[in-house]
Formats: sequence, C-alpha cells, structure tokens
Amino acid sequence: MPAVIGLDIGTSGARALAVNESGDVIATAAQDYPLLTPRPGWTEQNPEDWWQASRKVLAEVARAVQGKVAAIGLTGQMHGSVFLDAEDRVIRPALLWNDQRTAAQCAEITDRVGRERLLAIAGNPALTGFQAPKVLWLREVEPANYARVAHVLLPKDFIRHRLAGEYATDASDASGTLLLDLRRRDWSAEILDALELRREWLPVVREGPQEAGRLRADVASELGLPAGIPIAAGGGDNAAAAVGSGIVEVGLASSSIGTSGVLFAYTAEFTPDPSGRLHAFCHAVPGAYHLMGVTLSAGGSLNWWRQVLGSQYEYDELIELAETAPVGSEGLIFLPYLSGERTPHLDPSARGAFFGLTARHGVSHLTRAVMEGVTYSLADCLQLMTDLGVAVDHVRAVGGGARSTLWRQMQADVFGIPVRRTTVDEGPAYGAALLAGVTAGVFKNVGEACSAVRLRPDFEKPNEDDTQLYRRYLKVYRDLYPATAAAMARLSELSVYN
Amino acid sequence: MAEDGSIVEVASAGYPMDSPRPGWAETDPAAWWAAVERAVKSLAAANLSAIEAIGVAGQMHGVVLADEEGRALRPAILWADARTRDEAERYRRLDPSLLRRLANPPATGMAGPTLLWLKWQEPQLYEGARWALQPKDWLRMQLTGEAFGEPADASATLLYDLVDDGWAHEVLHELGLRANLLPELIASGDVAGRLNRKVAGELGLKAGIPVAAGAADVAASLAGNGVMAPGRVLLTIGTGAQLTTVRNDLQVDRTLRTNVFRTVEKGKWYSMAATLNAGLALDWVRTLFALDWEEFYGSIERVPPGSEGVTFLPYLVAERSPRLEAEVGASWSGIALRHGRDHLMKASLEGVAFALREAMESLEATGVKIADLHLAGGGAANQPWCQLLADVLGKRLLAAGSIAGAARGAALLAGLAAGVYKSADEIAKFPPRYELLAAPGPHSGAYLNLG
Repeated sequence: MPAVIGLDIGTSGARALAVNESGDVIATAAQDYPLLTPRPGWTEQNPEDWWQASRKVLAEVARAVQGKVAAIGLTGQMHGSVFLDAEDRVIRPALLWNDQRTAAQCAEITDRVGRERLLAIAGNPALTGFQAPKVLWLREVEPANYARVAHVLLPKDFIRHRLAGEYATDASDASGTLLLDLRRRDWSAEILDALELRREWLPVVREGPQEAGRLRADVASELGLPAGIPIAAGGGDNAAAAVGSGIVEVGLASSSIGTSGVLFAYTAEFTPDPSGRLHAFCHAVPGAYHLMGVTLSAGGSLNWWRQVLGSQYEYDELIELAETAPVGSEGLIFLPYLSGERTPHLDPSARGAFFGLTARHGVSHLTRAVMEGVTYSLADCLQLMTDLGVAVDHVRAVGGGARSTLWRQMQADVFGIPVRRTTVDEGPAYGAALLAGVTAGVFKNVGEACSAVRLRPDFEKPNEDDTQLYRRYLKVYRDLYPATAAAMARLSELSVYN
Repeated sequence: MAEDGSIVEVASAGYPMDSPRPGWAETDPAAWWAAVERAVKSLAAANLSAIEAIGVAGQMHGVVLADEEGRALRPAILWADARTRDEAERYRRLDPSLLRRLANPPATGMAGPTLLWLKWQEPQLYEGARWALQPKDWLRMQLTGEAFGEPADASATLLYDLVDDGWAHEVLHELGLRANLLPELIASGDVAGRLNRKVAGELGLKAGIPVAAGAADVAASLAGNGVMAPGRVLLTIGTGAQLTTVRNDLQVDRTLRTNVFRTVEKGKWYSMAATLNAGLALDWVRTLFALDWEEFYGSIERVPPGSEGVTFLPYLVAERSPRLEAEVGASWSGIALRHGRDHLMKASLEGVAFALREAMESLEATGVKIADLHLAGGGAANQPWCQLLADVLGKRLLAAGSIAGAARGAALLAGLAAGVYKSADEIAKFPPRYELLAAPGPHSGAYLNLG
C-alpha cells in the first residue's frame, strides 16, 4: 500500500512527511528558507525559495518511501500573497501573514465593504495580515507591478501551481483572503466588486480532501514520484493542523502554544463573531467551519522572558522553576500582550505587563506568571467561543507548549476542561497527509482519516480547587487590560516620539 | 570619629530582613548584636582602646519586646512590616484631638500599631514583656544594661505627643496599651548609661565609657550631615529613601503625605517625605536578574530616557507616604517584544526616581523651598544613577566628600554626652564639605513629560 505525503510551506521552512495507511509517520524532511524584512513591520519571502525547498523535501521523502506515493496534500502559512504575471512569473516577493504595512488598506476595505457586511460574508474584520489588503497595497504603492498581475495565489497554492500547473485553493485557506463568501464557500462577488478586484485572478475553490490538480510528469520524474498522482486541495496551516489532531467534531477544540497561541474550535455552522474578535473560517472538513482565537505572544512570551533572564536557563529548567511557585503565582499576573493583541482586544498598541509584584516574588513566580498569563489569554478565546454558543468539552494541546506537563495542567485548571494530547504531534503537514489519504481513497472521508489520530492514555483533568482559584485570578486578569489600556496607548506614543 | 569630626576608621556588617509571611518584615535582634560584634571587632585595636564615648543610631518605627535583662522575647517587627492594617485603622478612630498630638498619620509598620498587634495577637508575650524598645534603644541596653528612649526615635512611634514632647499617655490609655513598657525619655545627647564591663571586654573597649542616648537614623543623619537648622534638604537613599529638612516650627501636614518628627535638639523638628521602595526595589530587580550593581546601573546608558515606553511602579512593599494605604503591588508595564532586560532594569531605576519626585513634591507642598538636594551618607555613588536622579528630580545633586551618615551623627552625640562638645551649635561646626555630583541635564525635559 503506497504512502501519502503532506507538504507544509511554513514561515521558517518547508516540511514534508509521508504517512502510511495506519496513520504512522514513516519519513520526514525539512528545509529552511530566509524571512525578508526590508523595513520594520514588513515581512516577505521569495516564492522561488519555497519552491526550491519544496522540491528538496519532496524528493527526500519520495526517496525514503521508494517513490511509492498515492497522493500529496498541501498546507502552509496562510494569508500571504503571491503575485504572478500572465506568463506565471513571480512579480515581486510575497507579502506574508505577519506583514504590518497595510493599515491604510484595511481601513479602506472596512470603508468600502462595511464592517458588518465584511463580518457577515467573510467572517472576519479587515486585519493587516489578510491577503486582500495586500492586493490593494500593490495597487496603490506599486502600480507598475499591479498592472502586470494575472494571478493572486496563497503560498501553498503557488506550490500547487508549480506541481500541477493548476490555479486552485481550498476553502479554509481561501477564508484568509477576506474575499471568500464563507456561507457559499466561494469568492464573494459583493466584496470583489466593492474593492474593484478581478475574480479571474483568483484560483478555483475546492474542499480540503478534494482533488485539486495532478502531478505533472516532468516534475514527477525529477522528484522521483509517480506522474499524475492527485494533489489534495489541502488546508491552511491551522485547519490542516486541526485535522492532524482530530478536531473534526462538535465539542472539540485544540489549544496550540507555539510562538503565538491559537485556540481552534470546530463548528458545524458558520458562526461569525459580530465583535470580530474571533476569526471564523471554513474548515478543511467539507462543509464545516471553525472559530479561532489568536494570542500573539504565547510561547513567544516565555521565550522573551527566557532571554530577559539572560538565557541562563534551559526551557526545562525554567518550567521546573515555575512549578515551584503556587497557583496564581502568589498574586502576580502577567499580561502577554508583547506584540499587541489579536483576541480578545484587537489592539496593536496593547502592551505586556507584570502586575502585583512584591518583595517575596522571585524568578519562579515571574516565570509561572508568564505561563499563566498566556493561559489566561487562551481562556479569553475560549470564553468568547462559549459566548457565541460554541460549547467546548474537550481540548487537545498541541505545539511546543503541549510538551510541558505543567502548561497542560495549567490549561486544564484554567479552562476547567480536560486537556489531552495526541500521540503524533506533527502539525499541519500531518493533517495535509490525512487529507491526501482521503483524496487517494485510502480513507473514505476526513472523519475516517482522523480515526488514525490517537490520544495518549494519560491526560490532565482540571483540579477543582485550582480551577476555583484560577477563576478568581481570571477576573482580575480581565480587569487589568481595560484599566490600563489608555496609559499603555499613551506610553506607546511617547516611546515613538522621544 | 576624632574630636575634630573627621572619620578615623569605618567598619560594617550586615544582617537579613526576614519575611515569614507576605507583608511581614522581621529581624532577630540577636542578628543585630552579632553584626555589632563583627563590625566593632574588625576595627583596629589601637582605635578601639582610644574610644571615649559611644553613640547609637538605628532604623526607626520598629518594636523589640524585651524582658527585664533586655533579652528579646521574639524577633523585632520592623518599619517595613504591613501586618497592622486593622491596628492602624483603630488608630484612625481615635479622637481627632489626640491624633493631632501625634502629628503624623497612622501607618502600618510604626511602633504604636505594632504594639497593638502584639497585644491582640500575642497577648502572652505582650503581658510578660518588661520593655517595648526602639531597635537602637534595645542595642544600647545590651551595652549599658539600662533602658532609655529619646525623642528622635520616640516621636516616630505614634506613641509620642509632639506638642508636649513626651510619651502620649492619653493615646496609650485610649488604646489600652501599657505605658510601663516604654522607657524613660532623655535627650539624644544625654548619657544613657555606661559601657558594662563584660561587653567592654568582649568588644575590646574601655569599660565605663559613656553611651549617649543617640537618635533615630534619619535624625542622626541630619546631625551627621551638619544639617541642624532650616535650609538644606537631605536626600537619603537606602532600602527606602527619605527627603528631610529641619524646621523651627512644628507643622503638621494636613494632606498627611509627609511626616514630622523631632530632631536631636529640643525645639526643632524635621519634615520627612519618604518612599519605602528605593534601594529595596532596585536590589530586588538586580537580584531577580542575578547581576552586580555595575551591570545593573549600566542599563542607564544602554537604554534611552523613558525606557522606550516600559514603566515600573516600585511598590514592592506597602508605601506610607505619599501613598498612605498599605497597598502592596509593584508592576512593570508597557512591555513589547523588542524590550529586553536592560529596559526592565532602567525602567526600575526611573520608577524609583519618579517615586522620589513624588515624595519631593509632597515636601515642597508643605512650604519647603528646595534649591539643591544633599545626598546623605557620602561614599561612592554611581554617576549615571546620580545623573538620572538629577534629571528626574530637576535639582542639583550634592554629596558630602567624606562619610557623613547616621553613624557620624551618633558619634557627634557621643561627643556631646562625653562633654567633648558643649552644645548642639558646636556639632553644627563640623559640616562635611559638599561636592556637585550631577546637575539636571538635557534629558530633564523629557522626564518632566514622562512623570
């Protein structure tokens, strides 16, 4: 039985893995590429770098499984914009999901489409990271480049085009453009018209496990893969990761602590957040949706704190220290808004803080407070979901933060919900491979593919007393941002001008 | 100290402050005594045998419960202790006419509320005690075997009538506190006993030399810095920090943001604006990051004024003035990913400086005109830190060129007790020479906005 491959076009590099029919990972390969920051707040990458890295990792994995591959599934960083001309040449480096240059274009989109319509159709407010404002930016700032545009693709779909010659995307990744009508799971004529953008530039939208292209013969022979194998539409990195951890049923959510933190909940229906603080997207599961809250500095906060301490502690040592401090860090609270905050504040000038320091506190307390602050922020995401009527009764911990027992227990206690871990935590590439398995007919549907996702037998249950105590801390935590937001905004202005 | 006021030799020894529970601050007096032994014994034998008199100065506000022989019955409860919220509240319910005589707002950490706590929470110890002493009075009792108090320390206990210049018997009665726990009061420059033979032998000093009553550290520091009359404003930065100036009138601050206590001289008082979180906060930050002082102060030059938007409120222990509530809680805020350890450190230095400016402004509000600030104590000070202080406070910073702290003041009082000097005026003849440390520079304007 041949394997299926998942390919992830991440921000730091490309990653491929091969999965057999029982869901085991049998080969992996990774290749980094550079991140370009031509100006503060600008982030770009060369699509050609993605392609070179993709060829390398695909060839490596293909070799490892002797070329016996039935399908390839694609996933990658969301929101990025690849501009191609009529000859399919890359016009300029791609603008990425974390690029901040498009504040003016976001205002323009809100103005042209209307905030409420935008939320109702596209599920999200206009945010700098999304793809549509990048297209407007090109029109306004680089008109000569804009005049050459024939295709606008998302990062993983640019790779699809190189692999299959097809212009296609999937509904979950397409949700990150701000141009998709989420209810219809196709491009929104209303938004495109309001923004005066051309529909023919955009790829065709498929469901995650649907076939969206077949491997070109020339590429296949170069990479050591069978020609003509199907390429799954795949999913944006969050949706694909969710498939990989089995978040494909009502009541399930994943809590991912990487550099940023993501709380991802499956929803059967399109459930946009009228306040715009949660993202609503199509899922990589056909017809399904998901809600997502993002805390921008999650593992990033702990990494920042580790550097502040002069990198004298390894992560394990730091977390061991945190474990010696009690629940609540003896009255200390950390606000993790080091990069501003997405959910729940939508405030780029929000700032981080330690509140309640006393002479008794030491490194252990401050470290625990950092981890608790990140967890409180994830709990804020969960609360917003509950408020929208999306009940979550099981959380699966994924990402680097999931490796810490303390952090998992903390999440269980703060959320008041059991926290489980999957046996395989291979991120988006794994989910993309499972989707490819459906495309290849190895699995009947995504649900069956996810039966390959197994849970570790031991898991963290909320401790009743700690949950009660955390509930009280969470109240204080939630009071601190509104109490200090005005002063933080003044500080961020002062620090710009002095 | 020699007769002409010059310093011959200096020795010091430290001891820890314990915090057995959040907000508590205690030290076992045995640790004080051990430190005295270490410090004195490290002085040259020839200098020790030449000593003609001893004076004592010490931290204010604390309480040592002692028995007839001066043995401490429990660890001393110190100025930084915040356990006495209820007791301070009881004080606030006293008749206004009584409160006015205390001339100072009831606050945690002061001897009166602490004594009330001991009475309520540890009644057996309280009832069994013979003495409730100020820290340096307990220490002096170890030297002489006799218990005495003096106005400089006593006036900061909240058990002292500043109008009548004596223990506040009506307040004691009203609160149900035992007046017989308090020692007889004599003048700071009076002889409070003679060095007993046993201790003299242990320390290598002459037995029978006079021991002066001495003074609270702040009052002794004023004397040691030659500040015996209105005019100069002393800035003392230790664990806490104080701004002090002598006045010829007893003026109570109606805003309750500053304190007024007795100097070492009858008929003179001093106003004090204080923050409890100065060196204490800086040392906490430095210890958190496990750095030495040089690296810590180095942040001043590595980060621009304002720490790029990071701010630090230094209230690691409960403040008294100008924030009278015993609310504890420091903070770092305004932190972004680009900020590092240096930003947090410089913000903490700026935060302490801002707390000092708040204290300075409360002193100015009582009618004190501040031209320059005289940094008490002398000794080495970090130049960038002094410049930061001058910039934030907007004043020139001067420092004594020689050692001129509370210990020097205590030595001057010893000279008075021994009859070497005839009067307080004579003490004032030995002021140390002051040198310019720093003047407000180009960053001063920026700090005016940030404050």
